[in-house]
Amino acid sequence: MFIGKVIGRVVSTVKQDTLSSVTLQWVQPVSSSGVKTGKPLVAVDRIGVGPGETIFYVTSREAAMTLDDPFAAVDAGIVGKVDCFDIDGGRCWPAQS
Amino acid sequence: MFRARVVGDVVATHRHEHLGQKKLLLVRRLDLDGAEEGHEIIALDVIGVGRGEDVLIVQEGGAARQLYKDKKIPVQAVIVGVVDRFDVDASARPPAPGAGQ
Repeated sequence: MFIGKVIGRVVSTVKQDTLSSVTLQWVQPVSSSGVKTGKPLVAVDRIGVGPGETIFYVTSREAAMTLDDPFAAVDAGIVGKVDCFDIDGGRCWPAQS
Repeated sequence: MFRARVVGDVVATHRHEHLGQKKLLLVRRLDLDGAEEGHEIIALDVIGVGRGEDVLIVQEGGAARQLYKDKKIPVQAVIVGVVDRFDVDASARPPAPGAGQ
């Protein structure tokens, strides 16, 4: 799984059937310190997250498994929201937002 | 599979239902010299490892589904072992800059 930050929402009305009523979010891949690690991508959001939140997501086949339909035509899916990273065993560093 | 170092824990209360309360760890891949390289990834742990340990990671969803006996678990990386030591043939390492000329 990879770390990302939600940077926006994608609105699409004409969609393939397996994508109907699925929320799409823009995700910027980042490191635990909030540094960008790649190009933004669109991920399906089954759990409900908001802009600015740090999340983690899966890609490829596992992305469809985040939805009810395991054969949905998607390649990235959000599976959790990061509260904080415990790097040094002491303080839990809040995910950068 | 690849060798990686556990660099931290991930605290996440709001997560996909099929992830349950499984522990999430932040790991970074290691190169042949044991230096961290590349970006961090988040992995699940089936053996119980701690921060700073060098571990073996399988990065494949099918393996995760087998390990957890859950056809719907949306996971891509699982820690499956602790690396005590490893040996690399000298010929596998890139030559040091300026050496061997």
